[in-house]
Amino acid sequence: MRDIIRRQMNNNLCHPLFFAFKLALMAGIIFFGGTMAIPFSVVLTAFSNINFDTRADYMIPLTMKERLGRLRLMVIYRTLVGTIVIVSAVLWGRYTTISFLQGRVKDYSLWYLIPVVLFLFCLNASTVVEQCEGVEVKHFVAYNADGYKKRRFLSISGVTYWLVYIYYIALFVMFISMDGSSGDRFLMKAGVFMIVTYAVAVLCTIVNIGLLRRISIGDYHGTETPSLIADATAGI
Amino acid sequence: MGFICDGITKSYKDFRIEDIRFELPKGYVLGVIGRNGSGKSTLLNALLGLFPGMSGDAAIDGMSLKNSPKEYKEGLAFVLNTTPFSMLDTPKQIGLNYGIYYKSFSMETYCSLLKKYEVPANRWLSSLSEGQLVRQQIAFALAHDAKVLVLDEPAGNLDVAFREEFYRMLRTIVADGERTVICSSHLMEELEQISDYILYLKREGEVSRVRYYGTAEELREQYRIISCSAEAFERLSQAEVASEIVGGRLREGHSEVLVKKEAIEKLGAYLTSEDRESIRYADLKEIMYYLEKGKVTA
Repeated sequence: MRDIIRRQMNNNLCHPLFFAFKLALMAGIIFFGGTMAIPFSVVLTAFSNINFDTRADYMIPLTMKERLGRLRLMVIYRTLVGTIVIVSAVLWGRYTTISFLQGRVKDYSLWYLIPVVLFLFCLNASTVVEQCEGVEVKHFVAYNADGYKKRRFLSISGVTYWLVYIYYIALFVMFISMDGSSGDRFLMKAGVFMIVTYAVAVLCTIVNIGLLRRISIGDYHGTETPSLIADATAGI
Repeated sequence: MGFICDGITKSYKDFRIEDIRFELPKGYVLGVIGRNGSGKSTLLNALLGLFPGMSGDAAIDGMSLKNSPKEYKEGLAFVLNTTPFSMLDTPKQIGLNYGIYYKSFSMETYCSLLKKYEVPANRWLSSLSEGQLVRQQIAFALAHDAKVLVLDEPAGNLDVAFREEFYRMLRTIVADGERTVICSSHLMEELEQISDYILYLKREGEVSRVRYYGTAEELREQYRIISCSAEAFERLSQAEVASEIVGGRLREGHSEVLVKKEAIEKLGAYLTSEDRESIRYADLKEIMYYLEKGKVTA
């Protein structure tokens, strides 16, 4: 670790402040990844309008058929948006970061740091993968009274979920050990990893949409009123 | 025609509500009572359409939950103890996102009600108080001109001042004779004040059924409380009329029994003149308590 840090410090392309910044950012991404992805989720949710993960979503005047139709549309929509976000993030981030690391950018002005930050932020948009893979579908199907289907579905969701987190950790390790010359290789690896993860997510989406066709939607088993209320008769 | 609940049965692994039936005319408030675990929330969730697979049906003005779910839900509003909306939305966003699904929803009315109820329109729900969350739901319910309001323990998180205002509001809502309110609450005294009808769910083992449905007045009319001495209580309990006693509390100094009105005459011979003078109407809380507990020793 000491060698890595010394190498980073000696690297004329990695200012100590930048290195510290990288560390903090990556740690933040790993531990608060979900929070940082909120703007993406908010934008996506705003477009798709209803999440089907709150009780109110089940009480609005929609037939089950309409609900399923919207749900399918939403999953497809999110997959498309996720693809655009992730591909553009990889391309743009790769270009700007390599420029930065190869010394074509000599200063540390905010102007050049912004793309790097945004790139990292967009990497984090792999959380979008979760969106594409169908968090909402998971909620929706989780209400099915049939436990077997529920478990089968959740296991599919779970694989992608953990892949995303393994991906974060791998990124963290690679990013720390990165220097100017290996920057490109790192980005290539990261890109490949992201594409593989994303491909799994898309596959899950397809499977999930298929599952939706076969699953009859059951009951809402969400949050019940907490039993904080004292026994009505106890106080007499 | 009002609201009809037609034989709703909902089963869980170890519990079910069975064959719940009632007809509630327009312009009245129905209070749903029962002990914790008696299925009040299950029934209200069923009425809200959260259990598509249940048996039975419900209808608002002839629009059935099973046959016309859209029209049924259009006429239904909900106010729940825990907000059913996403905590990451603001009240205004909720109006925009959910209002579009209701034909008669008015954003203008919604915003003015939010203002009236002092609910900030542009803050996340997660930053609002429990009382504000309830008030936001009321604003939403009134903004889409619902015919039936389903309220599940709505007042539990309200402060005393707003609770009074809330109950007044409920009376105002039904005053035009067009709307109906179905409300469950553990605050029996308050529920008694506002309810015209009572639906009492009683759980026996794994099954909960309707123990009573009718007007609150009729329910109160059926029972009497006799305050008596401990000796009189013992006397009554051991006499051949003991089966007439619905429930009672034995304690030193002051005991009381709940009896059916018709039983008063039979019990007369066992009561002193003082006991007879103490006979009074039972309130809802006492009726429910003794029906659930039977005879108790305090």
